[in-house]
Amino acid sequence: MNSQKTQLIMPTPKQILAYIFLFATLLLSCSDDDPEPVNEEELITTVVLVFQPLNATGNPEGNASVFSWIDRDEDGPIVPVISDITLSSNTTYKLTVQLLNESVNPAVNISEEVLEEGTEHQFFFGRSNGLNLNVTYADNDKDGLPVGLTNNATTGNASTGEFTVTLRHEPQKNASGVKSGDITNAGGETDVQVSFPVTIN
Amino acid sequence: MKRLFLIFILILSSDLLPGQPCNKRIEGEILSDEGKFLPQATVKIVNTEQTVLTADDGSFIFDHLCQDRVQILVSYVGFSNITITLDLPIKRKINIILQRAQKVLDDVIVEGEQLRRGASQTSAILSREDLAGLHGKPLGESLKEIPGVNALQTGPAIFKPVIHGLHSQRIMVLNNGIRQEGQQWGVEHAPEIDPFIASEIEVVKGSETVRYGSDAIGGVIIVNPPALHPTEKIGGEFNVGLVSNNRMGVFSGMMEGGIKPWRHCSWRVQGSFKKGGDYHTPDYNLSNTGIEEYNFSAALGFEHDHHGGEIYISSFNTAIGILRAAHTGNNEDLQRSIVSERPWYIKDFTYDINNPRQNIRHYLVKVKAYEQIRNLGRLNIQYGGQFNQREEFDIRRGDNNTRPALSLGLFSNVVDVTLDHEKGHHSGSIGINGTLKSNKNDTQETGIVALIPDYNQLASGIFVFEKLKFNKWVLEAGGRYDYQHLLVKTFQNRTLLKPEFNFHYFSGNLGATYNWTPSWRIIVNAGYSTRPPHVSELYSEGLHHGTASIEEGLMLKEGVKITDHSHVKEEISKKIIGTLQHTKENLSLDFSLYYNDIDNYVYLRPYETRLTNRGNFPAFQYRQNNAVLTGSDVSLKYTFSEKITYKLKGSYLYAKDRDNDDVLPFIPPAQIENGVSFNVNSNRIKDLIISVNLPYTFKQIRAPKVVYPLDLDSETVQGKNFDFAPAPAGYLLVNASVSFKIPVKENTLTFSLSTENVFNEVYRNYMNRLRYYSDEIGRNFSLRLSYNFLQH
Repeated sequence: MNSQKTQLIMPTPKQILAYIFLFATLLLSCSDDDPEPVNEEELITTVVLVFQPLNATGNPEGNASVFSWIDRDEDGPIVPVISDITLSSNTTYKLTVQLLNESVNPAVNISEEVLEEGTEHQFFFGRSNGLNLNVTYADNDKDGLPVGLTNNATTGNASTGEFTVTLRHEPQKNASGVKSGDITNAGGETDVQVSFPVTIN
Repeated sequence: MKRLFLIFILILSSDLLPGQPCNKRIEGEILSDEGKFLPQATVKIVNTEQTVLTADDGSFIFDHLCQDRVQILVSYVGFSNITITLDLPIKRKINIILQRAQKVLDDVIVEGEQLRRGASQTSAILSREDLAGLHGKPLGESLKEIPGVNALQTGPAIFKPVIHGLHSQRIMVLNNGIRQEGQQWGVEHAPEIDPFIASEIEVVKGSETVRYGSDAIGGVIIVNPPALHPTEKIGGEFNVGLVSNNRMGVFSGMMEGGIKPWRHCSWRVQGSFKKGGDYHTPDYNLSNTGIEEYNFSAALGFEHDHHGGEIYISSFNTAIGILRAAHTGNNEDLQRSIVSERPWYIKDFTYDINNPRQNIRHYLVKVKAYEQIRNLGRLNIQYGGQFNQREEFDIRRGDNNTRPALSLGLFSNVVDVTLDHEKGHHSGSIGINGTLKSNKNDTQETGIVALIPDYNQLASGIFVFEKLKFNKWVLEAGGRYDYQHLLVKTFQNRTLLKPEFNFHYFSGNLGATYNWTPSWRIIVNAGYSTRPPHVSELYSEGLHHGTASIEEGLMLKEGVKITDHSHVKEEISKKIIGTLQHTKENLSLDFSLYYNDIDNYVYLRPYETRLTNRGNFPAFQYRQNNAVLTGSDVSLKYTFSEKITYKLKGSYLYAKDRDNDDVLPFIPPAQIENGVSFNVNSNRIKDLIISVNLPYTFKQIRAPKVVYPLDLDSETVQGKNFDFAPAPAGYLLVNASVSFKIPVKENTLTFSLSTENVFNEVYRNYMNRLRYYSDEIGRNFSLRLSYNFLQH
């Protein structure tokens, strides 16, 4: 009886092969739809610094200068395009920072996101020795701590050097020195860190 | 049920039993060559003269054995006597088939034991007893008990097995007979397996590509559930584990039995749950290292006369937190972490798991059938369908935190057809394997370019291996041919590319075992194995936040995908491994030496620094170079008296990139472990064992040169391999444990209390990728309770 049963259940090798083949075909055909390219919405491709000169009363006066740092492919091999910053000596500027994602069309303004989640972000401004450029925060998040999207920048005497803009995500804003712009104890992760060559004349 | 216990045990000289732990058993059935069970057959352990007669159903049991290796003599009127040698512990029921006397030949099939692997392979087993002391630990951590096996760690909960320096897609995990198909390409991807399903785990340290294909080039991890038994009563096991360091609770249960109307059928269900919070080092909390896991499996088996089958399903689900401070934005962040003694993010203990974290699911369906065909052998057919989903959540802005940064679904099908044959001194197996895989990224969900692309892979192989026994020799030879078709779907500047690859490759194996004397044995195995590069090695692209480095595949040139793949070569391993075994009543020794010469060894080498909007990053690319890995493993056990046992384990590995005359990254440092255990037996409690182990890990002296992240420049990355931090100093740990058994009616309740890192030593582990950020965990108490009511 057993052998009879076995015969009924056991398919021939040909049948087995046919089933495997059928299964394989089904499987390949259903997974054969091609993937779509990704829109990387969070990418920061462009950092724009706008230096608006202010007069003695703190009001805008004259034309703003715009400088940018552009890297189209983030971690990819394309070399970034970096503006040379030129500023006037002994001048006070309103410095605004804009972050853009220009890899998608239309471009996305990331600085709006940063502003919305101000408590989770803070910009830090660094300069190489000898560069007479001082930046102080001019904005606040919900907790009254700085974000750094809007700032005051003051130049001293003519000098040259490097100016570094760093955006930290989830920094420890209450750590010592952090709210006055000292990055040492800030922690968090770096979202942006770009350096510009600066000439003050 | 009673029948199984009705065993006529005749202990002729029980006082010969030496040392401890005397808890090993051999269970089996004696069959005629026509498949009839033979009652009243004599089964004798040769060296102790311990003898039993088989029960009406041909079954026999030897219990409370102490030896690591025994010789068994089986005799039955009208049949030829046979002698077999077994390495203990042996958890599976063995079937011994006697040949009629007129057929002259005295041979044997020890099911599942000898046929499963080459007899001439070097392997090591974690037995049920070993595993009981490791309950609650992930698979990869448990395997570290075996000399020559290490783990590549990502924090305290993610362990990736490393066998003789090889890992990831070079190691195959056999999950209940099915090749595990998961996302093994990533260094922070641990095997998706619940160790509670296993009653034993075996590690084969030689290449097993002939049997299993290219993924077994570095070795095989065989996770074996116990065999299904059609018993009348329900049997089972419950385990509870409490772990102090991360306040973890682990619970597992298993039940099994027969089905009354169908006495050849049996079933088993099994499940486990674990939840733990943040681990801590002696000095601080490791924030966001919690884990939650729940697993389930069920099996249904049928076995009668010459055929049988099994259906098995399992589900594995885990969520693991990754140390918050290990997420780095750029090399300045990394530099700060390396220089700082403590992670920058330390919060109070919590069970919450936040980003970065991993969510992993793995489902398996297995269907297996076999038929014993007269004059031909045993035909096995099995199918395994698997779905593996891996989601990795990163630190992102705002609502994007709820979106995974990586979401991969791997659907795979494996079919194995084998014919095992056995005739006299000659046995072997012939078979075909087929694998069909489809890997898909859900990039609409992630919004991030995928780390590895989508792909379809079709692989098939055909193999044969034969074994010949004569006198004191066992000789073995095998060969295999494979074909792999790979279709990749990747993008270059938003344009879809669909490169195709065809690989044809061979593997071969020669082995010999020489049973010099009953207590000395030499095993030598030489293997030639081939492995085509994995998709991740061909097309990886992206930034790893844990190591602040950009990784690129073989098919990228300066970040751009190329179409010419003539430079992509198969990796070829030529490994020779020799083992000397000595087994006597009070001494067992296992000493192996191996030499593995690998051509076109694929690994990440640094090649440039790249300026991005977060500063400079080193870019690593998969390159193929000739490498050599050679080393030695040793284990020794000496029983001084019934009460005291001394154990020694050690391993050493030397690895080199021969083309560049350079050291290789992630090579385990030398280790040596001394242990002593005391066995105190009394009337009320059984097997009270107190043990102390002292594992010492040396400093990796062949670590890559150190380049701190801020010292990176285009020159430093172009030379030799480098590491961002020096190799940590060597360290000695002290581990201690107490365990005992209490009989509850016919069953057993086992207690164990163990402490790891008794002295709260502060140390870092070279093999932990998070050593840049934090120390290893501090003192850890584990309490384990196990209640066993198995019916067989």
